[in-house]
Amino acid sequence: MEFLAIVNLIIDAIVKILPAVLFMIGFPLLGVWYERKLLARVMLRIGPLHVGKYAGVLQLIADFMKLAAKEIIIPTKANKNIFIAAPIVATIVAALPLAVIPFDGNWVVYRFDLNLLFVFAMASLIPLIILLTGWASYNKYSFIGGLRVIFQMLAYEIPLVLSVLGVVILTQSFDLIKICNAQSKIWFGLLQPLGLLVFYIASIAEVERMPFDIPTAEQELVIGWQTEYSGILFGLFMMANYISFGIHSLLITIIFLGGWLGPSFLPPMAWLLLKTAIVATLTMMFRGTYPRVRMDQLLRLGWRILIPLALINILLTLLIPTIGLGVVT
Amino acid sequence: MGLVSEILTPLYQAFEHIFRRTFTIKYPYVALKPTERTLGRHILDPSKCIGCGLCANSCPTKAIELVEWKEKKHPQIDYGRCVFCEICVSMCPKGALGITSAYELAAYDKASLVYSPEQLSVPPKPIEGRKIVSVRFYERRGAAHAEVK
Repeated sequence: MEFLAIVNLIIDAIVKILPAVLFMIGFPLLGVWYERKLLARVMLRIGPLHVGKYAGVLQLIADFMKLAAKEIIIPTKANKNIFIAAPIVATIVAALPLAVIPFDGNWVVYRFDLNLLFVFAMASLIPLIILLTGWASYNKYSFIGGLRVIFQMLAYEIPLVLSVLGVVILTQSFDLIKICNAQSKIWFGLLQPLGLLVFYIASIAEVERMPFDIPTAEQELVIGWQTEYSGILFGLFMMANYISFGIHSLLITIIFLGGWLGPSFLPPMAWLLLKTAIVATLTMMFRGTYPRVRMDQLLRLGWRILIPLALINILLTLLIPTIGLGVVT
Repeated sequence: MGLVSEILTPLYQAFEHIFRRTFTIKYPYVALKPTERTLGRHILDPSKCIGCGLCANSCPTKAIELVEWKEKKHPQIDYGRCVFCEICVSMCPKGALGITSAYELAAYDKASLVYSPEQLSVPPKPIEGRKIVSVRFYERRGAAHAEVK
């Protein structure tokens, strides 16, 4: 009996972490392949073609193996400990929010009331790691990239949190499961389009994707704070970037687009992943469409447009219950 | 309203591009038809060649060397050096050296890029077993590839 109970516990644990782990591994691999294919189609190219039976699906696995087999070059004057530790820590920190993000009404690795706050705390840790990376690389491009990350963080971090505040006020909760289940009548994205807009723009800046990829601006800074990295360490940074991209797409879906709620012909998790895929596709389309904004333009956007819009959103949210339009109790 | 359309119009155009035909040729699986002016591999007519060496002398990259074959001097061409300028063909007094449109000359080592007179006298293999496409120009879509029948 004892043995069976332990086996049951282990199986339970594995089932519990399964979606999070699969998302962590699957999103960088499939997401990068999908993005390359999509951008290729936008530019009337074909994209990955040879590796794998169909349309180069295994291209990313081949790329990852190539990166893993490459030599790790550490600059002579670099701070070795930080240089090696940074990509590992960045990947772990980027993936940590998956421990509290629910993939279903009940399917979450660890549930507690403030998981939205935890996600934001982890997300705002990453710029500090990147600043350290830029400093430890002993390279001017890396250092400028690191400084730009901090500048960028000043521009988007405040509107990112402010824009969610409207939803938090409506649901009286920082719990993602409660927030998602409160949208059974109407999505918060429809109720608070301003909040969705501000959160979406700020989250693109957060994950350093085009048009806000100022810290890794390839035409100006080689590849920004990643300049000195090679081999698997570069691969880890890439993975961290794509994991946080996936997490932010998940967050937008859960907070504003009804998460796993949907007609019952698909299981809840399928709805969540489908909506996430659509959000991620839109973000990838931005990469193929818009040119990069300048640093001052991003700061102006953050401080002059996004923060006032987020505040207006909070004001409207507070007004809705008072004039009797409250949908959520 | 101007700002919104400035943001959304490019996005819509990018979205539209996804469903258009791609411009890239899947080359090893599909081959491009050479145009009439394509300068490819040479072809040698050994019966006309008199071994005068004008082709070797005129070659700007010194790709041609005269070698002994069938008790006569014949040109041997190193395609690692050849720039496909066709000067040797125009210099040939007897018209023994000609040009074909064969462009698939890739090899695994430098030594197999040197074509002996014997190899040069054999006409190149035509592209077979693959779809052959050529570039067409359309009014609205711009350039695209179409299969050659």
